Amino acid sequence: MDASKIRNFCIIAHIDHGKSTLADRLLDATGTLGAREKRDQFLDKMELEQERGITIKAQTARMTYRAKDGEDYILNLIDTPGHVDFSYEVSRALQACEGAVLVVDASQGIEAQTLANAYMAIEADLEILPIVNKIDLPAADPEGAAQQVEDVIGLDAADVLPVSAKEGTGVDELLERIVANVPPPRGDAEAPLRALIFDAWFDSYVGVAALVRVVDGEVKKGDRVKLRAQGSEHDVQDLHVIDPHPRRVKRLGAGEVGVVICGIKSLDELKIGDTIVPAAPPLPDALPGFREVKPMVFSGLYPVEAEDYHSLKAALEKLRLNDSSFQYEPETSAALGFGFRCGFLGFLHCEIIQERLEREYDLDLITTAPTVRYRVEKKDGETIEIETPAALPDVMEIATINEPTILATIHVPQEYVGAVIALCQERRGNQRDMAVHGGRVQIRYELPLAEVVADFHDRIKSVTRGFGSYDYDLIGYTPAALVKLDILVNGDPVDALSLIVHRDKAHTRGADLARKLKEFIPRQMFEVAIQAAIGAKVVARTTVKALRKNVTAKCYGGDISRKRKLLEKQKAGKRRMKRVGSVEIPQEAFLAALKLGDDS
Amino acid sequence: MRRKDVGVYIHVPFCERVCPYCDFAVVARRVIDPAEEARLVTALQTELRARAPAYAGRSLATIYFGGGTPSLLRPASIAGLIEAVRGQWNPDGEPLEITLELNPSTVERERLPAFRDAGVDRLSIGVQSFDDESLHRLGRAHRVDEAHRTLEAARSAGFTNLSLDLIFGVPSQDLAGVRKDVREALAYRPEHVSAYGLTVEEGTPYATAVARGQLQPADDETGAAMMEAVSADLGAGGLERYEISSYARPGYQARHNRRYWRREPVLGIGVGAHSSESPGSGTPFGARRANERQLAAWLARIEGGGGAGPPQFEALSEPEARSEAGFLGLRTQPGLNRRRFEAEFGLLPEVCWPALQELREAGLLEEADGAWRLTQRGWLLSDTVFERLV
Ligand SMILES: Nc1nc2c(ncn2[C@@H]2O[C@H](COP(=O)(O)OP(=O)(O)OP(=O)(O)O)[C@@H](O)[C@H]2O)c(=O)[nH]1
Ligand SMILES: [Mg+2]
Repeated sequence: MDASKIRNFCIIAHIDHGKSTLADRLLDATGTLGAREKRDQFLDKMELEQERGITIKAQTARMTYRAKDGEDYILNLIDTPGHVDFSYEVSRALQACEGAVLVVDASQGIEAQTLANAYMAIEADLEILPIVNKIDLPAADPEGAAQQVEDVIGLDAADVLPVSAKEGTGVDELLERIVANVPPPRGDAEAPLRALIFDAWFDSYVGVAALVRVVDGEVKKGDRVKLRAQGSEHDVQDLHVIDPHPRRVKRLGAGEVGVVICGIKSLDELKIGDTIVPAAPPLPDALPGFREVKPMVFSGLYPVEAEDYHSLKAALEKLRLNDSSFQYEPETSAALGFGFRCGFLGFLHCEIIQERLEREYDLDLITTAPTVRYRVEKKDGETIEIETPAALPDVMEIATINEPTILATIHVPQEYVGAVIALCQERRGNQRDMAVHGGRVQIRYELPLAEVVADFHDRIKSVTRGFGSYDYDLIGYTPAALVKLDILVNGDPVDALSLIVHRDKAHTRGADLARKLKEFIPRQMFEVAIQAAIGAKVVARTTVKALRKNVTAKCYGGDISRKRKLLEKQKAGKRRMKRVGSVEIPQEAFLAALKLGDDS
Repeated sequence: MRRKDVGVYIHVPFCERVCPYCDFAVVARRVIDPAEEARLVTALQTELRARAPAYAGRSLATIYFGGGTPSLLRPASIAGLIEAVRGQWNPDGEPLEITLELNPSTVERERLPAFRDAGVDRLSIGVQSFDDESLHRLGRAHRVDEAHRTLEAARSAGFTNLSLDLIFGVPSQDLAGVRKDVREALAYRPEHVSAYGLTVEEGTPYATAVARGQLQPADDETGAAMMEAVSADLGAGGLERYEISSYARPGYQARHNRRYWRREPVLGIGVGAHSSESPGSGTPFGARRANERQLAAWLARIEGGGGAGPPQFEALSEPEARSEAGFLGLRTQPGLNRRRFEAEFGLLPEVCWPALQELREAGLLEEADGAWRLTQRGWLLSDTVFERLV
């Protein structure tokens, strides 16, 4: 393969600006997809992606394109996700490319992820091809959006290509620009093999499939190779390109993107970011890998039915094979039984994993309130990191609690600035600065991560009628007046509902939780007192009155079997309840209480 | 050892109209065509003959005509059925209890003397309420003045064992209304009262109306207060509560109904009728049978000669029999006898259900004189107790 005829590029943008739809048009225009397999957002292969209309996983597709110069080019495209939780997918894709198509929705203009991704691409030294998309929309303002690209990112407005991914306008021109402007791969075809693993997944037939970008040299079926960092050696069993379905090839040369299969059975035996090199010396240098992603949001996952614990464990193991960015370890709760403490990249990630577990593995789950990782300085000088309220030491032992702080960059049309500032203040934010570009304002706020994990994104959207967006970076730890809020039923703590909250919010939060629980805890034989407390101090209290009457009036003849079956059914329903002390709490109560964070 | 006897339940599916809270097997008939009546009676007798052998060697304790509205049948039909039943078993020495359910209506009232001549000695009268508004809400065909006339007529016809059905917790009814109903009932010095809290059974028009928010049954608190008031007022009137919804003067407990709570065999014939059998070979913990709930299907089977085999059969397992012994026993005032339970199942109730202790601590159960019983509060929360016994 002549590397000068290869163009590797990715499509990056803010969420929903039309990357996957643009990818569809490129696949169309190059005749890569058969007429019968066409489908909107073809590269969103997961059921969940299609349903939610968002990309979660970056996907590659290889296309052959005959350019106006009469030559055939191999175009390798990587469609990336736009949501901030999945930006590590973008960062990896960038390493496999020489160019990036930066998509800006002409009706929305530049948003937070547009900027974040554009800067990432510039830093990775990629050639940026800016386009404004959705020019078919009546509300589209292609010139305005192009001007923003110039003002904010510093690319010439005149170079911004107007496109409608929906209607195909501008797509032919884009292909030509890709050929003309994206540099061909720069690797050395004669040097020893160096291939960067930038994604991997588990396939039940062939084991681990590693998606690589061959930087130098070539890899052939049957080659003996080594994973540079891992140190393990393997035989290359199979090589694929994806155009857009896996197709077996004999070799992958410098500059090409493809799949290497070499009999690895578990994702633990292969690290994304590692370099594949020849087994025989001399050992070439490793390619720069990726910074390791660290989970930011933590939550307990428990099976609704205790007997599903082992199925949950097996499901987590399998899921992790395809998503090494989430972590889990066993955890026990007095109220919820055996489960797992899981770490996620963000709240959407948490939601997605939960939904995949429920859907693909048919599990019913309870998820505890998401928390972040706190850094606790103890009076004895020790500093510990905790990811669950249960791990918080006794108040007497704590010197300071530090919480992770982010710098949020929020983009919004001028008229919503007030609403956004109000929201940020309510979330304990400190304004850093504000800048105006055209009609849009960029506001930067320092905010506690804990205040944004659950619903900040939705809230931004709702207070700005969908026009605002935000992105964030972790900037460090800040001391804060945090306390552990416990929920007690008839004096017994419901550990699964404990929270770490700011002292000023403990009271309202406690009252909300108690009220929500009251709604869902059915009346029992005795009165149930629901309390929210900080240590020994009760900050909110409510009661579920004792059940007064629960009688079946008649029981003759045919009623008897029916009654017995009804009682059995009720008992089975009770078994799904969790017992805390002598109080029976239905699943829904946990779910409702844990959901509360979303709409507070 | 208990006597080996049998009670017979005969189901008459006809009703003048179907009440919106009813979930029994009934068919609406304003007037019953004599030919249809004859066909029904013949079919009942056919089924009786086919099923009686399974209860051979027993003595006859009770006959109960339920429905539906069995009093829509002509007295001659009732007489014929009673005769047929008597022909199958010897009397058990005590006077036979023969109950007929009756609604307050003109036709039925006029037949009272003839029913008495036919052998009926106990009437269960569906008074439900002495308030026209409540009767209307319940969708009953009769009015209060008809109830009065029927009760008077029953006494004049010489019936000395009357049971009144009352329903409380009817939408629109308040506590004072319920107590007034009880007062009016007591004025007739009934031997027995069945006072049922209105339950909304799934699949009835009532359930639909409640789901739509068109009807609001009495809330928990009010329902509880009503039940307590009914119990206290009837008690003061000389009727002792001997089961969750049943009250009687001494010596007048419903022997037929009691058979269900004591798990004694009952042969049920007719549409939708249920039967219970004592433990036998192959069914060490007893068995249940049930007829089809559609008149046409039942008739077709009986007339086709398939009377001996009701379509539904259920052999009870030991745990099932135990729970039934538990929750049926606890429904009654004598309660769950510990030694009798142990004799039958080989362990004491509190060993079988450690939850009994917890329920006692919660004040829903008490244990005295060798039996477990519901407390005053327990009567109100009986289902909460029973849930722990399955
Ligand atoms: N009118 C119009 N709608 C478009 C155009 N391009 C995309 N859309 C619509 O915009 C929505 C988002 O498109 P996607 O292609 O899924 O966007 P995305 O950037 O891949 O989104 P994420 O992967 O979740 O970040 C869909 O409803 C598309 O149909 C366009 O050119 N014109
Ligand atoms: Mg997409």
